[in-house]
Amino acid sequence: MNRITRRIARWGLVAVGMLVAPALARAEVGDYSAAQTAVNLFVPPRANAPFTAADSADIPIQVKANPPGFNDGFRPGSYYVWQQVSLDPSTGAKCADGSPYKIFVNRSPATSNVLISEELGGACWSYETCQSINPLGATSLPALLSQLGNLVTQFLTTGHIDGLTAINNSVTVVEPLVLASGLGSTLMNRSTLELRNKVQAWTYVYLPYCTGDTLLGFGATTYSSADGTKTMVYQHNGVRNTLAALVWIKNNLEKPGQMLLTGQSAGGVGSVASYTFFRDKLRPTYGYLLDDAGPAFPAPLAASDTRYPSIRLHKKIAQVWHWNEPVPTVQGGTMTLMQWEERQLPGFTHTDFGTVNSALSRKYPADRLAFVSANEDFVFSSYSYRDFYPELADPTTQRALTLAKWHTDVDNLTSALAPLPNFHYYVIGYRRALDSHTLTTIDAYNTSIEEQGLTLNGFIGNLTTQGAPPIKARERNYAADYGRTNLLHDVSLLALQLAGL
Amino acid sequence: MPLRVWLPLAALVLLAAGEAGALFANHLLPSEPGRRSAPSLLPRQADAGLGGEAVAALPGAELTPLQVRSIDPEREPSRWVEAVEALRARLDRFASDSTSEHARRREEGEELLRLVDAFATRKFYLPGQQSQVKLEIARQIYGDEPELMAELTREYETDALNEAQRFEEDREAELARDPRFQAFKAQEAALIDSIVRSTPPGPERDAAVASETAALHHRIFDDPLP
Repeated sequence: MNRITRRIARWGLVAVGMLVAPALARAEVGDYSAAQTAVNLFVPPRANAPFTAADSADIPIQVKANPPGFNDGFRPGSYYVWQQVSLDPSTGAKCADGSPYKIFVNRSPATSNVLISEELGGACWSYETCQSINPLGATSLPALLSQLGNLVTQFLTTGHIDGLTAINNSVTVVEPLVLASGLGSTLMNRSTLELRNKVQAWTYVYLPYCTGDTLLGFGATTYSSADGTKTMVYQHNGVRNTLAALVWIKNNLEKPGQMLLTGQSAGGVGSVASYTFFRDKLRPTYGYLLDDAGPAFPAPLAASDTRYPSIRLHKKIAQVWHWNEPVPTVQGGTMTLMQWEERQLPGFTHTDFGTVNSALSRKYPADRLAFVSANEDFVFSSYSYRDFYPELADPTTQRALTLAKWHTDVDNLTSALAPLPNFHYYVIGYRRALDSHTLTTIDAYNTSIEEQGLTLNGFIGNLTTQGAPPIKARERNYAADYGRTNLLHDVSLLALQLAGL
Repeated sequence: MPLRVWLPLAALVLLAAGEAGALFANHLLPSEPGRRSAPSLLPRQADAGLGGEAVAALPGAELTPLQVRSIDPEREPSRWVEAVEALRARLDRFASDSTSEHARRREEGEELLRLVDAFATRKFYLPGQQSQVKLEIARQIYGDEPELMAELTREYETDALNEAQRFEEDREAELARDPRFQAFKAQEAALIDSIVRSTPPGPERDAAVASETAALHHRIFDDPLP
């Protein structure tokens, strides 16, 4: 009997090994076992790498956690529900109007991996553009609601909605509409049908955007109206908000095995610029970046703006968002935001913001980084050039001239990314949703690059797969894209129009 | 029989019974590159799409919308997580199933629409986010009925925009009740007015307005000075 049981035991162990070993080999870094997951349901994992003095040693400004006893609203044992988490103003976090800043967290019990998304919402750099922040929430939302019925009728009659392709008036921000209407990241949704990716099973941290600065502002700016009769202070506080959120993540969530930092539009710009901070402080085994439609275009400030059309925008925002303004550091002396970024990212120079891409690629050669966008993005292009090129005021040529500059900038960026071994890109032709602006919002309709047989979902799956060859794809033949639309895309155009875009 | 015998035997039996598969859920579509596994949340939970096959959910794992609405995610974490996994598995099956007859598929889609609404009551979605999911489902079952799709788009988007508006109103109401913020805004306006009246326009005045406002915020909220 003993001999039989010993043999059974031996073969049992072999069989278990054969079954478990390949299974373990397939397990994702950062995921918990089923047993640990079950434990987590009742004993939530604690922060195992909290923010320490060592973490703040290379941060020039004061960063503080929520004070003891502060009720941030976070319930560690609440899984798969969205929780609004407050950051006490003493952390340095605040919105443009000085109001408290909050983030959103949706925790998974099954993994330490985290998907962090920086919100979209335009940008502003003058009294007029900053004053009109919150247009949908304040005034245009009811208008949009009231027009939906007419939209349906027109769509049914003609197959599309007229008069929505032109973006008129001055550029402004659309920040508060983001949390609804499908404008939040489609990746941060555990039950979508059209995007299904492993990162959707991770813990989510959603960083709202309320500072008009692509999360890159470093101080308050005083704006006066054109006639000089009105003055306002706008807290371009994006950097401090991001840092406060980072400190909260470290102090409340476990160290991630994998991290995807993403963002759309303004949040995309923020994700590229802040990647190094999240990467260095959270220290995941694998890091991924997905910049959706927030390009850090090459723009050497001393060069020709015919060659690099974003130069004028970059000069403006560097000034009003305080990129090069020395501030006293906690270590002594002074430092500018850009000097800090240069210190963190060798190869980055404040005289060319676009160098952030290659600097990230070099500093994190094992990370998988990506930029996604569209050839015909008329939203980010309007923000980039409309206020800075007088010739774009003529509505008859505005669209063509704006997109011509955009094409030059996209050419520059894809050329810069092409030789970077770990920087992927995916640029579609045209998509009616938000006038080709952002791919991971609204829905996934018309986001394929048909000529290469690529889908956005496949691209993101490839990006987040270790060892998969990089994809660098830009759609060239996309006439058919213009024939693809759905009512939701048309509604998104109406929303842009009502927002004053 | 000694423990060293029982343990591997028990493990073997468990694995053979399907636990190995359940340990490693998959969150990509079968056709996507780089399909990797993530642990299933519950050992006995249906494991959507693992290895390309859709595994039937166990009876009882799939809840009705009414049952979902009855769950308190905080007090019943196992039940809630099980319900979420069941929803994901069901959506996976729905997305990959092109063989069912039309009426049956529509019936399943309509039940999913009700389920999504039920999950939305439990903060499973950001405000309005469920409309996005419902439109995806609707496109699958009503794609050949443009009038109905248009009407549903109107309905779902109206819901989403209303939620956006409620969210914004809630935020404004919260700020209106925040004595520190109200104090800040009142004093900020007075401060700016005072500086603007007493100082000629120019960069110096702009800098003074910004720095004095920052100092005011610091006094009220104790945030670090720039």
